[in-house]
Amino acid sequence: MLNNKTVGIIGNPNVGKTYLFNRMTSCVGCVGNWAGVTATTCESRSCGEDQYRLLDLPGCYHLAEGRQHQATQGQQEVASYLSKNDVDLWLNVLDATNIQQQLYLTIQLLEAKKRVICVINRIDLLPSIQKEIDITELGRFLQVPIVKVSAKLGMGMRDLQSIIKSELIKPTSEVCDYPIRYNQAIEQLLNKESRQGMTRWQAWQKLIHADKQPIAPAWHFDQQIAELLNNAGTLTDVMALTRTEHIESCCRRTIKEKSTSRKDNDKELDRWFLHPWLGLPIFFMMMFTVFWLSMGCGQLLQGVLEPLLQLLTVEIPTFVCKLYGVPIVAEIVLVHGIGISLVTALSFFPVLLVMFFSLYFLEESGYMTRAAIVMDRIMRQLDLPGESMVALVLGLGCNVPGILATRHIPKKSDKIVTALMMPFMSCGARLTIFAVFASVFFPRQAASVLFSLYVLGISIAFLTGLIARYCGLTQRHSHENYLLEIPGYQWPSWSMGIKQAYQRTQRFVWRALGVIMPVCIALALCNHITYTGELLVQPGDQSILAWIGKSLSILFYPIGLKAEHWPLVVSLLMGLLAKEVVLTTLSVFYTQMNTSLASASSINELVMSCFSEIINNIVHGYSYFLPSLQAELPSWASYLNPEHISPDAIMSYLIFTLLYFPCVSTLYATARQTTWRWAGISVLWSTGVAYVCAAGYLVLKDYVTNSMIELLMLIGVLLVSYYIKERVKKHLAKKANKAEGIAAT
Amino acid sequence: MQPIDINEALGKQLMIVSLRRLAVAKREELYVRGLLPGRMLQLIQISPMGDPLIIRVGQQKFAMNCDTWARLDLEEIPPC
Repeated sequence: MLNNKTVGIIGNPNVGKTYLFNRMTSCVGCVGNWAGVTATTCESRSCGEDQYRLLDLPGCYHLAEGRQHQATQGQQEVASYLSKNDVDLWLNVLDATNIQQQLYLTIQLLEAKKRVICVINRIDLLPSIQKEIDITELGRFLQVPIVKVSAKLGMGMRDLQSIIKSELIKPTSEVCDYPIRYNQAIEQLLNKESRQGMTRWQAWQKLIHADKQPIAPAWHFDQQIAELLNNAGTLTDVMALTRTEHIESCCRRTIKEKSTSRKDNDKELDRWFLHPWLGLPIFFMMMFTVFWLSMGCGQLLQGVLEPLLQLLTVEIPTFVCKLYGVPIVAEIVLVHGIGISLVTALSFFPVLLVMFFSLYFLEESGYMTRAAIVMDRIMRQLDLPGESMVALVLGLGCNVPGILATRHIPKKSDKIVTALMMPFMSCGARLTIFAVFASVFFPRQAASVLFSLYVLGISIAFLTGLIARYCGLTQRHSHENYLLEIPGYQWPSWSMGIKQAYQRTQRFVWRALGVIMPVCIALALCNHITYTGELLVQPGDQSILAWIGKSLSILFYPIGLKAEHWPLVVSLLMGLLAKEVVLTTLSVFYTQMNTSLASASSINELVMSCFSEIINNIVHGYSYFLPSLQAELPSWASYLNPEHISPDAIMSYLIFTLLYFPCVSTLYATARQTTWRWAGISVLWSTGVAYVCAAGYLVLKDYVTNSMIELLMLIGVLLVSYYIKERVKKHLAKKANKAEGIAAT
Repeated sequence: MQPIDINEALGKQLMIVSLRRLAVAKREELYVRGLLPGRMLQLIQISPMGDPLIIRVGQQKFAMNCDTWARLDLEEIPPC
């Protein structure tokens, strides 16, 4: 019966709309204790017998009346649903702890003649802040049904469902004008417009729109209105002040407060988190803890999962294939393609799960807003908001969630610049590549090499931001008004955290698997087939992949890769699909897996060896929590050694890997958050910078070793020219000030 | 009206006199969040590197940049 009905969830940011949506639909939409978690409208069907369509809209503080061009993304989405009139019932979610501020939107909805149910959420928090809300009186004042719920704990959901159903079956004609009375002169104007067939809401829109025009409308010359506008400012001021007075009188009658003890606890915490000196170190410590936990707990779980996956998807299938004499092509696809791709993609699951859970904890507790505030001033050097830094820090785990986090950035230009900076933030997959190569080629300076690469990536990201600023991509924020609501601290829900982290990880792993599996199959086939079409039992120099690598190696000559290093060239190309593929590609070239597996005489032997590896990983698990950079070297790493390729060329290769475009998933995410044009620019920019930096490193290294004196002279010349430039700038500024002074006199 | 110095205003109760120096759209945004003429405001903290400022209006806390602060017409309320 209610199948064709639509219910929209609307309210201020961070009042728990998505929590309510999740409860009513059993979806796991992203939640967090900060404004703007829901960036776009989500849609689902409600639970239960009579299923209706349910919409979760982004939060907005008020409706942008008559100024659609200045509206935020949330306001635009809400406005489009309001104008379409296809929502039968609006659930206006209000946070019980701070109801007064949110009633403005409720009044606007009522004035727009919408059918509304007020859902007072977080009712469980009222006793702790010693506040009481008279629901009956509030319902009488607003003339709408009121329901008390706690979406987080699931309280009051049955009452809400029954009221929704009873409201949905009522005819639309029952909704009447909300009796808010403005100034007498304005009421006359509204009535005049209403007589021309408009509703009160439409009449208001028309008046406000006319008020914004450069030529004053005729009613501006009415003495009473002129006097009113002279006192208040504009029609918007008159309207806003009347509504807030109306809300205040409502709250005086319905809300009783006794004390504010909860806010004092928040004050104590904020004293530390927003401390002038300790705020920044605490922010970096928090971020470090997230990654330390991800790498420690995640790798401990990985130590159990990876050998099991290896056994089930690679070793047992290889044994069975050999036992039953399965054709070589089928074995290549099954073991080297599907098997290795499953091990590569699924072994990331624990690390990502722990990382997403830790981030959920920070978001839900209310710390993320503080992080944005702490980083705001630093990011303003690049004319970017504090939210950009949060996205960039998330990008250190994986660039894809980092790019997706840019949706919290209100301005599109800031979003674009943050997305352009993101590829230079070294992700977890690149860290694995660096750890393996650093351990082989720079065993004594592995930590310094890794640290330098991280610093280089972050420096290039900031340089990109500076260039974007000088090119006028970002607009100055200093002239704009910044007002961010700071939510109270709260204890996150563990079950929701686990659910959300699992869903985010699962989504990411499946998407990665979609890329990695076809690549692994294609790679394995190309590595076993010659360009004349013959099948190779062992991969070698005659394969298609070797031929492609050798042909393209000329392009990579400036970064130190020669024709014999073709596997590295191919791994770079494959890395465009996903950085996780780089090491897989190298392992496909360098390992002779079949030889080692053939030695196993029975499945029992394989299972025993797998379990002994798991036990060994668990016993040595504590080492994951120690700040050590000793990566466990894969068997194929012995093929790459300083005799085969010079350490300088490897460093140049690592710089290129660090800076060139991360993967197709990042490209897709960038295009979704910005446009395909900007995604293309991002690919070209990052790859160009990577090529120049990698080649520049080799040239500079050569220059430093051979001509130290010339280099010192060059640095001297650069310093002197910078000094002269600064002097001239100062002189010109002084001159201009003097001229201004003379003109003023 | 001269803007009140941030360091002097820290911890004091201030009354919002007017928001007229802000653009209309921003003014409405501030009204909606409870920053109305006649309401009390308290500057409770200055975040790292001096900007943004943490203010309290009623029971709600906001981060506001110095530029917006400079455009508010505020009046100091002497302690009782």
